[in-house]
This record gives sequence, C-alpha cells and structure tokens, in this order.
Amino acid sequence: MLHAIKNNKTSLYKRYQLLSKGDSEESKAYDEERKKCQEDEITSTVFGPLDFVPASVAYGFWRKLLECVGKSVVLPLENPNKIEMTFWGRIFPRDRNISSIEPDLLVRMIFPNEKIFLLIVEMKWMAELNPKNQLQLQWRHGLELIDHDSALHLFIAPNISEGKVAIDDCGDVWDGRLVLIPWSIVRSLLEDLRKTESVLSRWAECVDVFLHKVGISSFTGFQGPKEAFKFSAKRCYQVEKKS
Amino acid sequence: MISEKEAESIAECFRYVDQVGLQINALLDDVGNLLPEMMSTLTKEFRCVGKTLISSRYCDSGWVYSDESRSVPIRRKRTGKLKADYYICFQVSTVGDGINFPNNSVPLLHVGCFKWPVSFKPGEEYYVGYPLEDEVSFDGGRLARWRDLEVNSDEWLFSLKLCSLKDIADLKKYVVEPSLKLLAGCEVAEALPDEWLGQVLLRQGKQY
Repeated sequence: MLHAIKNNKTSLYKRYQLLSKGDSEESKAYDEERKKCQEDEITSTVFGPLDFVPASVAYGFWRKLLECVGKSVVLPLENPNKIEMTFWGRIFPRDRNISSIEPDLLVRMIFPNEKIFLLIVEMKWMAELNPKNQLQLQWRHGLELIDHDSALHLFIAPNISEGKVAIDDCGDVWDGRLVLIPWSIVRSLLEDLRKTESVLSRWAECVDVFLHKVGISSFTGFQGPKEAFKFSAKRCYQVEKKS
Repeated sequence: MISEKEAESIAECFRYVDQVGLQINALLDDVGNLLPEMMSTLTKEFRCVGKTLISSRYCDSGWVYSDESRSVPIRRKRTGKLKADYYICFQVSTVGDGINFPNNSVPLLHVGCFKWPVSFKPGEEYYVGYPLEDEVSFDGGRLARWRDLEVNSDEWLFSLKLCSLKDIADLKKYVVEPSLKLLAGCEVAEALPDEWLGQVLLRQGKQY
C-alpha cells in the first residue's frame, strides 16, 4: 500500500486526510463515519513494516523517535536480541471484573541480559480517547506485565492535548513515562531518516510521503509566489522552445 | 479572452493558495501542540481540559477558506469545575473582516483568550472580526482587552502579521510564550515587547 500511495497509484489515502471541513453537519457525519476504521489502518500501514526488519534496525527507529522528544536515555544503549511487536494485543487485568484493554501496539524488547523493556503505544488520528481514561487504564494494567522502570507509554496523535489532559487529570501516575508525540515529530524524523543510508530509508521515504499526503507537516514558514512563478516561467519557456 | 500564459497563472495561483493553506494548518497544529507542552512551565495557575476545537470559514463566494482556527480549552487549577474557564484561541484570517481594519491589508494571526471557542458556525458566530466591539479597551496599543471585574472575567486579543512567522522557534517566542505570559498576569510591555516584528498595532499610541 505504501508503494501504491507513493507512486500515485491509489487515492485510498484520501480517507485519512486531516483537513478541516468547516462546520457543516454533513461533514461532521462524514468524519464520524471514517474515524471508526482509520486509526487501525494507519497504525498498520505506518508501523507494520517494522515487524519485518531485524531487531537492531527497529530498535534504532524507536530510539531515534524517543531521542526527538528527549526520552531516549531510559532505553538501554545495546541492541536487543529480539523485538516482538503485537498489534492490538489484549491485556487482561488481574481484577477479573475489569474488562480487557487493547493498546494499538505493544513493543516488547528482549535484551542479551534477558532484561525486557516494553513500549505501550496508543495512536490517535481523529477520534478521541475512549473511554476518557483510556491512557490511565493502559498504563495501570500494562504495569501488571512489567515493572515501571522497564516501560514507556507513547501517545502519538495529531494533537497531543488529550495526553496532557490525562496527565493533569490524575496527577501524573506515569511519573514522566507518558511520552506525548505529535505525528509531525514522527514525520520530521522520517524526513531525516530517508536521507540516510539506513535499511529503513526506503520505508521512511514511503511513510513520509504518506504522512505528507494525509496532511501531517510542521510549520516551515511562508514563501512568496515568486518562486512558484519562476518555476512556471521556466517550464513555459521550455515548452515553447520545444514547439 | 485571456492568454494561455494568463490561464496558466490561474492554476499557479490555486496551487500557491493550496501551499499557503498547508502552512496555515501546520502552524495552527503546531501552536495547538506547543501550548499544552509549554503551559506547565510558564503558568502554574491554568491547565488544559479537553480536546482542541477546530472551526473554519470559507470566503463569501465559497471558493477558498478565509479563516481557520484552533481553540484550546483551559481552566484554573484550583477550581473543581470540569468545564473550561477560557479558551486560548488562534485564528488565522487571510481575507475578509478578519483582516479589515485601517492600514492593514495582510493576513493576520489573532491570538486571544476568550470565554468561548472561536466558531464560524452560522448562528453561533464567535470570532475575531473588525471592527471590534465598542466595550474594548487597548493596552499598549497592541492588546485589546475586555475586562469585567464584576464577574472576574478578563478576555484579551493580540494580532500578528502571519507572514512574519518563519518557523517553530518563532511560534514559541511570538505566539505561545506571550499568550501564556499574559495568562500568568504579566504586563503587556513584558509579554509583547515593542521591538518585536510582526506586531499589529490595534490602536495607535502607547497606553502602558
């Protein structure tokens, strides 16, 4: 799918576009309908390929991503022997009265000294946290699998304010281990990665194009129309010359 | 009849507007993410309480967006209420009453602290449009203020020339930081210093 999107062979990505549609009821209903399935599809499209690469390569990506938000220090320096990625894996709380939880992604990293580090990843696109304490539940029951110092909780969203609200609401039960990452930061990292000789550079290129097409970008300032018109004039000249 | 080159320029203009629109969206998304991130370090009194609200409006002909906005709900920490006390609003206006005041003809970014989120929805309109309401006072010529001591309400607005902003560092320095300083009760002279580029004088003359 990533290759089809990159080479303009499909317009399926349009269903994920983060464009404001004004305030009409029609557009709101449309948005509600498409929110239902898009998050899982995006999670799979963007991060699925990391499941097929060597552990050291995938680890390099997660380390760099956490570096971007100043949190890489909590990860071990050495590469893990193995990384297990579980998409939508269910965690069954010890308390049987509480229903299971399903983070979008669990990244279980197993190191040579048999130490295990866990990333609990929740991704949002347009939908809101559901239930409102979704992140608190994920962390509380995620810690039944592993101790606090060997886990990080990542919240990746176009707008991270919901994550900040979650921290403020419960007095930061994460103790600094809930990492809020805007999608624009993911894209900035991919822009850098695609310029490297890394095994992931081709993947980074495809995902970068995908995120660009669906409306994820960082502010880089405005340019005057002159540049565009200069390009246009040059092209017109070339066309005329040929004819 | 227009020439082939002139016709091409129409397509170029639309492509250009599209590019500017993408930058406007990126700018608003970035300030929406920077505000909660920087809030805890610049003001201890307020916190975010919900999802950022989006509202936008087309120009009168319905062909292009004229205004796009984000409103971040906040409230005082000490209150036990669940609803927002205020909204920190960021409204970009490129054409129309959002930029139409004397001596201005460029796109603007309005940064305001209001009791309601910006809305362009017909019948529920609440946005920055000129002329401003009569009850407004001006602080330092650059901060429009609506104060009602009886109900302990303090709403304000400052505006920047949109194209004076170049990157995320500018968004932090000229947009998010001053809005949080004003929220924390800083004086206008400190939050919005004289020498800053891109400041829009809403009224001539200083009144510090």
